[in-house]
Amino acid sequence: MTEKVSIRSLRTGVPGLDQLLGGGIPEFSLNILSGAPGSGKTTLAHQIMFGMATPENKALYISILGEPPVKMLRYQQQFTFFDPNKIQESIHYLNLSELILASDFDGALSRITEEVNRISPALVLVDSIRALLGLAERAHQDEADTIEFIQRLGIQLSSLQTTTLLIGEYRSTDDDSTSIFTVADGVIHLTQSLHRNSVVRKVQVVKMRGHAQVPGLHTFRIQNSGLEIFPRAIVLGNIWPGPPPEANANANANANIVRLSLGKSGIDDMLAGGLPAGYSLLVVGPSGSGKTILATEFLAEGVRSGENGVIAIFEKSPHQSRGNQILTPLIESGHIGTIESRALDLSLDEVLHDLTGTIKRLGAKRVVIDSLSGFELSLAPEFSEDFRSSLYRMVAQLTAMGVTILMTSELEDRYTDLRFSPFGSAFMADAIIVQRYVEISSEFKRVMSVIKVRGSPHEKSIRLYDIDHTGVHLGQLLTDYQGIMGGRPEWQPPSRTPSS
Amino acid sequence: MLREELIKRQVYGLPSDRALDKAIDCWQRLMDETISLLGQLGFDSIYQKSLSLTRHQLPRMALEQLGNADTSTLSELRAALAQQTSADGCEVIQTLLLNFTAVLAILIGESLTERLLNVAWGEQPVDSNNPEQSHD
Repeated sequence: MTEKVSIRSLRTGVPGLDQLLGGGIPEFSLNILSGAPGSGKTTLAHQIMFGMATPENKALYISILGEPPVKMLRYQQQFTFFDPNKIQESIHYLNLSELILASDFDGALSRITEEVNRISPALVLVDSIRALLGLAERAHQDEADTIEFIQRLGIQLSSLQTTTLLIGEYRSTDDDSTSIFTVADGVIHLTQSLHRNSVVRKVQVVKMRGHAQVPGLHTFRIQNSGLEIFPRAIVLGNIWPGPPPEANANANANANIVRLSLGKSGIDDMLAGGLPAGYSLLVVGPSGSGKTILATEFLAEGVRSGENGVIAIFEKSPHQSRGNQILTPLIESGHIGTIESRALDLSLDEVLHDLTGTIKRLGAKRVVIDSLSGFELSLAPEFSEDFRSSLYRMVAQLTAMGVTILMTSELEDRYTDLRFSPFGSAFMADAIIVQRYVEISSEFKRVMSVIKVRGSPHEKSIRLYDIDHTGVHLGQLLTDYQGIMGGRPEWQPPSRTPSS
Repeated sequence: MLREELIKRQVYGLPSDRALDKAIDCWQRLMDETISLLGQLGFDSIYQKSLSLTRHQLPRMALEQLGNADTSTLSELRAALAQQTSADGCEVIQTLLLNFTAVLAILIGESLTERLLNVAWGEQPVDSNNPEQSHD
């Protein structure tokens, strides 16, 4: 009986990368790590090397006219993954600049072979393969020779049971002159783009033989800890976990819906018993209408019911949000996790990565996004320009996790038209609560109404409400007024029944 | 400084009959490790800088001829030291080592430099809190 060869995946330890690679780098494969200068190749190569190298599985970093080793070591040790104790024990460096400058390619190959035989590394990194090929061309060797060199290198290193990473400055993997991409088993390509003064870094696993890599471009960030990749959220299946719209007519179906309290019985009543679990609720209203307070009460009620929550704060400063008397003790007790960002160059996937990580860590059931307006501002222009699509992917990903979402959205009061979202995103919310200011007896009053609850009945009335430091307080129904949402309600006295 | 401690432990207080050989051996091993890590060009540039510092600190020694030949062999250094007494030769190597590692530490950091010294000389890391290891 013959057995098929099993290809082992070597985990890189780079956050997010192994997921993109379909588990890791295939053992004994020849891979190219490409990208324009400054795209993060050398850092990623070092992060992979420091992550994978052990005294049993050594790594050999071969410098071929890439970044000078002194500078490379100087800069790379700024990252937390750089462990000096691994140098010359688990990690070895070999500099071939002199041989390559003398166009001694055969000498370079035999020196590599000699060093690989001496150290027996599990991982070999060559920086940079582009410089090597460039020198070969200048030395009047034709392309076939250089490709042959790469092939020989690949065959020799595979035979010596090493996994290889060739690092090269290539702006694109489509470039005709880069036929080495054909020879490679795997290609990881890094890019960075500047859009309206905001830099977005992306990684693509162009190919990875023997592995089912995750396709497409994925954003990443370079931090003190190195690269962190945020695999792109992919929408799968039905994004609405609740009952389909056609179930609306079936009153019995509603009896089976699990509903979450928003912390105020009056508001729960307006929603026919609370917000269905797994739904996304959009609370829209003008500044100061109490959207954040309603969201905070939603989280606080969750904690009272034994459900942890997460709040993504994009609008207020951390100081302001910590001043929230309801929220602060819940955050300090560890029941509520926070995602706070005032950066203006985030990607949706980065936000989603932080959110899902915190949700999983806390086992959270309730999530608040406060607010969509701030969230849109925090995204890099590339993503905010297609905010609807970004929001759609985020809601889909979060609801697929089974959490119930409350999103707030700033909406200036316009009394000439009735809108529920500044982003045209109302369609993706399962439920909508609208808050407005209206003028009654020369005073601004707050009113709210439930506009929609997908697949469920709900109260359609408009109610007065007020807010103070203890929360939202519902008031009376505005049954005797007309033109409320126009901002200037007119009192319509109830018609009297003629006395008999 | 742990780096200085490591150097002192290797090349100070050796019996005079083998002090120079031992000091040159230390230099050879450090040179090999440095070339392996930084390449010949990287080693040469740091060597030139440390030679310049050493000449300033030891003006009475005739070190002008150093730094002109191929540094991958030690013939030039041996020839220069042959004109000195054993004690002077040791002093040259010691100063050269201190200067070389100081420049290296500025460029690649103290911890990586100490790591290199430990690997080159097969030393265990020096524990600065252990008086047993102190040679002061």
